[in-house]
Amino acid sequence: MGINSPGIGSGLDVNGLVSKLMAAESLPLQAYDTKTGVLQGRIASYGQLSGAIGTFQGSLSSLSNSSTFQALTSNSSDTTILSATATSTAVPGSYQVNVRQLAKAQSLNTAGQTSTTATIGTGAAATISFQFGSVGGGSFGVNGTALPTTTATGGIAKGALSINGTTIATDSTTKSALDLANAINTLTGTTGVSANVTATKTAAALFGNGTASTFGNVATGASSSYALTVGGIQIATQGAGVAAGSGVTPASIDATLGGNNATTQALTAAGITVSGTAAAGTLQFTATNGANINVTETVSGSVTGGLGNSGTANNGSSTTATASVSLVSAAGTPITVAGSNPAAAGLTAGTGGSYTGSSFTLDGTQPLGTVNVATGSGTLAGIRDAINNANVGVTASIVSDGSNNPYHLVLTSNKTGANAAMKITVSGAGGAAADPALASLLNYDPSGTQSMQQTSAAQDTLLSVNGIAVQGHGTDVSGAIDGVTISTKQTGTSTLTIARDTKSVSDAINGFVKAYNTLNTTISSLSGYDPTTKKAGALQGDFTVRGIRSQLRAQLDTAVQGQNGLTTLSQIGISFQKDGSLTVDSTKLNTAMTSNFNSIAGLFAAVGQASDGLVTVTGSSAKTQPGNYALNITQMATQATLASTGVLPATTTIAANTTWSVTLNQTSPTTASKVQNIAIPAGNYSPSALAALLSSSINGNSGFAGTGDTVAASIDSTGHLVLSSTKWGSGSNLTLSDVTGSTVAGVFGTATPTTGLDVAGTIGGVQATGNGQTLSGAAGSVTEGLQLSINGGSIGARGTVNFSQGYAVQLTSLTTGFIGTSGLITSRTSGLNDSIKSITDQKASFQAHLDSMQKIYTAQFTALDTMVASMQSTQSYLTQQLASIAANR
Amino acid sequence: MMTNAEIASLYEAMVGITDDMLAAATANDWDRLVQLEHQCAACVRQLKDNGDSPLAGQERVRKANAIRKMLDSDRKIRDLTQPWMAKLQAMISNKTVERRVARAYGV
Repeated sequence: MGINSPGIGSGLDVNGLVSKLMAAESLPLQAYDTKTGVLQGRIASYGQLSGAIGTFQGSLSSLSNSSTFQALTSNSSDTTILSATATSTAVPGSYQVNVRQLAKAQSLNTAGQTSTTATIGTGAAATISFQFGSVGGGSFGVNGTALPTTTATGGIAKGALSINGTTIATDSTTKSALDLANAINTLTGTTGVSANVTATKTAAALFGNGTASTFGNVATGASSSYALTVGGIQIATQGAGVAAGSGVTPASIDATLGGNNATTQALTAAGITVSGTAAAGTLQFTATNGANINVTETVSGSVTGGLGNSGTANNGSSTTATASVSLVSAAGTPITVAGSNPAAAGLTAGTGGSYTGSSFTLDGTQPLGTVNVATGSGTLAGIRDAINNANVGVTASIVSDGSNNPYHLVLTSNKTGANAAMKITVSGAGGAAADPALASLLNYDPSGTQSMQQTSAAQDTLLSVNGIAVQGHGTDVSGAIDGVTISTKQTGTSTLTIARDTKSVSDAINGFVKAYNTLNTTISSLSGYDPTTKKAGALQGDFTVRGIRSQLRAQLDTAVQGQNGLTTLSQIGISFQKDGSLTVDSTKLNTAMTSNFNSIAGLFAAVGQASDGLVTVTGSSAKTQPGNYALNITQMATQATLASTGVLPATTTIAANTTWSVTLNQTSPTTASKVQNIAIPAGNYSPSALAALLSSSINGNSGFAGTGDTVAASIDSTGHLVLSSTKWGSGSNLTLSDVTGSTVAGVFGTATPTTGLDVAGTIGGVQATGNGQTLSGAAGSVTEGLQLSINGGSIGARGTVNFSQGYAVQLTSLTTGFIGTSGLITSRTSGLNDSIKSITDQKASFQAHLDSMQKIYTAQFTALDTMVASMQSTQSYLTQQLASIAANR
Repeated sequence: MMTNAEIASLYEAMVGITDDMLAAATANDWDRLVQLEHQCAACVRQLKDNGDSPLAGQERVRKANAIRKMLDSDRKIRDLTQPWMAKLQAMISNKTVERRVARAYGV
């Protein structure tokens, strides 16, 4: 039988039957799918729970930070004058702040140039050095010349003089520098300019030439007289008929002026002082108040001798000595002098001003700036670009004023503050002499040559807090009030109110309660029975969920350890309700915030507090255990230092082309950038100036600046120069060696540098790890993760460090144990996934068996079916044979 | 061509096979039943192919007896086979298989 189609004999459609069987198969197989579905439902529910816990954990992060609970608000009554921010160290209160001056950066202008692209000078390579420091003493302004005689007699006409656009009230009575200065000073509030007078001095040659007297002995004829008055005070007089030598002589004048008499008393009362002698020809009268000094010889009849008279007829004389005024701009801004006749005031029309009598003191904390101008780049634009590209803390720009020489290079210090004034020195490349044209354009020294015009002075912010004066280099002043930064905007007075930020604290606490309740609701809906929907949660009765819930609850019911003050949630009005949710009693919370504000942080956050004021807790980790730990320091952190062997002389000379090789905070293995060649500007320096110069020179190196390596230099109490790395600990080191010019030994002697040490000691009796000033709890100990900064003090017992972990920190650790990579839910979920996998395997093998059974039954049925057909044909044959036998009988 | 004696003997051999078939059906040994039936069908093919010539005398009696015996057994075999096939049919068309497998697996 070649045909194997089933059902041939029976008429039964076996293939149809088999496919029916396949369809029916899903019924017991559904049992597997149902089981899988249940497990997947639980996995999804765990996912939901995990998500809810994650959200709750996220809400804990800000609560774990103590600053959340120590926030202070600052309120300025006039925000156009100032605003402020307060950190947690600030003390709440009300502060009267008076801003008297805003910090400014110095700005300098060059003289006008015709072109921005024309080479200035020879075009040879040049170096422009910038030093930053303070201008001290002297004043900024314009010096006038002595008032002309016409002013002494006729005054200064109205409108003759204006300062900064304001006409000075002068008239025919404004005859002296004293009068003029008074007129100018009444308008200082408007002009910003005050006037100083120079002393009025009678002419040096009035009584002689400095070696001999030119005052002739006075001789008076009959009915003649002679009188000499100075500043209206008669100092010598001679009646009629006195021979030369018997009356007024240089000696008699000196005798009068040298004694204590009516004449000298009157001179003193008039503010006139005397110097020199008539006999020596050096007699001069001085009025420091700038009043004019009129010297008059009044003569009647025939008189010989007197001032500059050697026996010829004296017909009387009158001279007036005048003083000059100098204009001062307190703000250090240029002064504009104008008017119909400023010369009458001894002044010249124009705008200008410079420092006179001032000194410049380099600020050692500010790096020196060195700008190299390449050959051929010495144009106004080239210099601008070179300065801007060098990043030395100075911004250069070019402005045009539209005049015949319109282009000015403007240099502005990037830093505000009185310590950020610039001193600019031009030199040739490689120590060559400076190009004169470049030098006369840019050289600027407040204590010397000022080739550039200052348009804005370097000045500090000046303010007072509750009447106490404070100053700062920036417009933001920190520390005037502890923990508060005041941002000044303009001058004026504002009341600053610093208050505890109870709102953000109560918001944070309410946020915590809300987050917990949201989690609680999720847990309830997953694990409970909802009577309204008559539905049980997918995790009803699940031991994992029950465990999570009871652990959370237990954590919140446990008082915080190691914390002084508030230790339980109920103390701030948080309590559990019947349904397991939390509720806040705001009255109780407000009471707690009023009476125990500083303790709230410890209830939620991780708080570390050292009893020693020079120790701060800078960090902790989840592994840090709460407790009180004794702190014992066995070694203080130090910085690398190099102290000169000897006391520095009054003047130290640094030779031209002095370069030292400086190795600073070298690492192991070594780093090339830790070694730099430092050029030390040549000059003669006082000890303090040398210290400032060394630190500025080293800190001005861009290689060191790039890696944050800096030095500090000072003169100690015994007069030694001390140079130190600002880094603390074993990584702090310093080496100086000669390259060219003055030697290191010439300044420091045979001194050798010391290397820094790390702090060392024990926390809670366990040896801690020191790194610089930071002492860290040993790994594996109860203080693991605790970081202390030992900022000073001495070795020995240093009090205790108290560390506590509030609820937010504890709950963060606890929930990490639920949802972390090896957490409870995670492992539960992977267990369920394993179950699903094994059911899938079972289902597959069930399916395989089902298939094989079907194959067996189908094959047997088909075989029997075929057999029955074959038997049928056999039976027919036999029946036919039997019939034929019967027929033959 | 077979001799008359061979033909009669073949019929009697077929009786033996048919008896064995009945024994296998009685013992529910369906695979053996199918096997034996193949042998039986082969004998029938031999008879048909080699001319089942009419017999006489003793051989005719032997053949008739054999055929009667075989038809008797045939009926008995079918009576045993039909219910089993019905059962198989039922198993292929309803849940019995599944239930049995499910029981075995304790699903």
